[in-house]
Amino acid sequence: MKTIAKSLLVAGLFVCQPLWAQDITLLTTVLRVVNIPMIAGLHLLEKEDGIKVSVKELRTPEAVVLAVIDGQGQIGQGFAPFYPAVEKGAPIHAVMELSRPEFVISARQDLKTPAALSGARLASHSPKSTVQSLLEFYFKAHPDIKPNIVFIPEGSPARASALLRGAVDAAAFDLSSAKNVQDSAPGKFHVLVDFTTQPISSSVLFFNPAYAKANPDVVRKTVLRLVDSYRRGAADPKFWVRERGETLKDIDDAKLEAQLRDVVKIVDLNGGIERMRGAPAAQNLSFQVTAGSLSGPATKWKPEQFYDTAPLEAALKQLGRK
Amino acid sequence: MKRWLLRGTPLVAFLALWQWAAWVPVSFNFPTPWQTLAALAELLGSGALLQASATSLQSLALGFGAAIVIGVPLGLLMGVVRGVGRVARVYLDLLIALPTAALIPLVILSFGINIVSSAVIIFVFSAPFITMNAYGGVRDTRPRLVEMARAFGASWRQLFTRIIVPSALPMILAGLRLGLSRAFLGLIVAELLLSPFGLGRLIMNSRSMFEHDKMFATVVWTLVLSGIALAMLARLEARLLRWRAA
Repeated sequence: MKTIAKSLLVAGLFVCQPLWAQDITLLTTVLRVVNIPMIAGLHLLEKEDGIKVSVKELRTPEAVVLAVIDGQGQIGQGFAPFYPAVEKGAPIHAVMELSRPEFVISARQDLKTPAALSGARLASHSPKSTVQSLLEFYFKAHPDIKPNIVFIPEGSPARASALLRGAVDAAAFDLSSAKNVQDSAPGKFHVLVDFTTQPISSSVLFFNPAYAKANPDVVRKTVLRLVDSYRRGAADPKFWVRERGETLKDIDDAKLEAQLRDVVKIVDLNGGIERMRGAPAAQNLSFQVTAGSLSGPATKWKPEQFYDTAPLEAALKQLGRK
Repeated sequence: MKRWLLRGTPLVAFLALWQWAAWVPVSFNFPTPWQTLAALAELLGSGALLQASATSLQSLALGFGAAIVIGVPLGLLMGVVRGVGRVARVYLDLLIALPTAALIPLVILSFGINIVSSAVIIFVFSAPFITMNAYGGVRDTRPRLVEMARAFGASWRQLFTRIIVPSALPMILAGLRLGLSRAFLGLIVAELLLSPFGLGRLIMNSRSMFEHDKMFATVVWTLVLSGIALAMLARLEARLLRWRAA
């Protein structure tokens, strides 16, 4: 009898748990240094608002979008496949920009100019990945450069490793990998093209539509804490190092801080609101059309089809604009 | 009529289940069988599917061809020379148990990112099964047949070509069919995990663009290709083993 009572109590606690604790899941691809500002923001959300967010990594960005639509997670980090999903009718909206492009093309020292990439083996991720979208965008603007693109469908470290081993002549990867390449083989490679200055969104935050509708307050609070994290970390990257919790704990604090100083230039202190409405948003969508993630012409797309700025506007009202 | 009914019922049930899954839908943008068929026609019409198939079949031919050329003689050798069999069997068992996808980084390191790497993956997927079947075929040769051939004064060469190889042939051919199925599996694994090209690239592209009808169409096409290849092999098997029926 006692055992049955205990079992019922445990089952009851399990069923009633959502009534007092809000545990939600954020789905993303493999966590990298560039995600630390977001992770720090999620820790703030837990500390300040009692909303615990578990982060789960999936292998591909399209799996993230599908899983969030399916309700297997409430929040998702949207990369390039976010846009074709919306085009195909997924009822999702980005509520803030997480980062501008964090990618660069690094090449052997003897490839002095981008023109030298013609015929060279250039490593990218996969056909419709964010990094490949950036490359296609760049090479459409420079049609005379025709590199031999080699896909390595693994993260930036795998492409960095391929470059270091000489398997490719150049590679597009994130800032942390660029720094690692420089540290591992000083003077052998250099950054040939820097995409971090492009005024476009590389990744965005989006919610499961049903969850967002039922929990507008959680959406607003999440955006608020993430923007707050971006601001505090941009002022002092030590904040991000401290607040990262167990994420990328194997990276030495000093080394991580140095890498995060580079990340500062690709996070927007206003959550990317400028690129979510008006002409800059149209440019953002035009990039997706050029890169092949959205069908053309770019003029048929309206920012409000992809972005919902209300939670970010509410957060900025509270925090003030920077 | 009865035979067709028996063969057709599972297919109709599968299509009905698929239609139901699309109607629910079980996942965002899940295509119906009809949408998949239309996408298949579109991909065939545009030439994209044929071009991708040509690229994929190159690495398949290279990898599976090497698996036959190396695997069958090795299996026969293992069966004939017991010492070789005892040693090689351990490694082949390990190779079969190995999670082959984990080999991808090693293959990139050793062979670079090219068609050879893809062929190596296909080889690793199929060769152990071809070898083990050839080995098993030799081991299953009836000792009485060997004794009889010896009693009639057959030379070693005659014993091998007239008794051992024909006895092992059914197992060798079964191994080739198993190896071919594994080779198609290896092909898709290589093209998705190593470097996307051919059919794997088409699958990855349509998956990224949420064109799930095209993704399903490419998978169905891969099944059709492997079905055709297996049917051809089965015909070859029937022809080569006609003597058994007689």
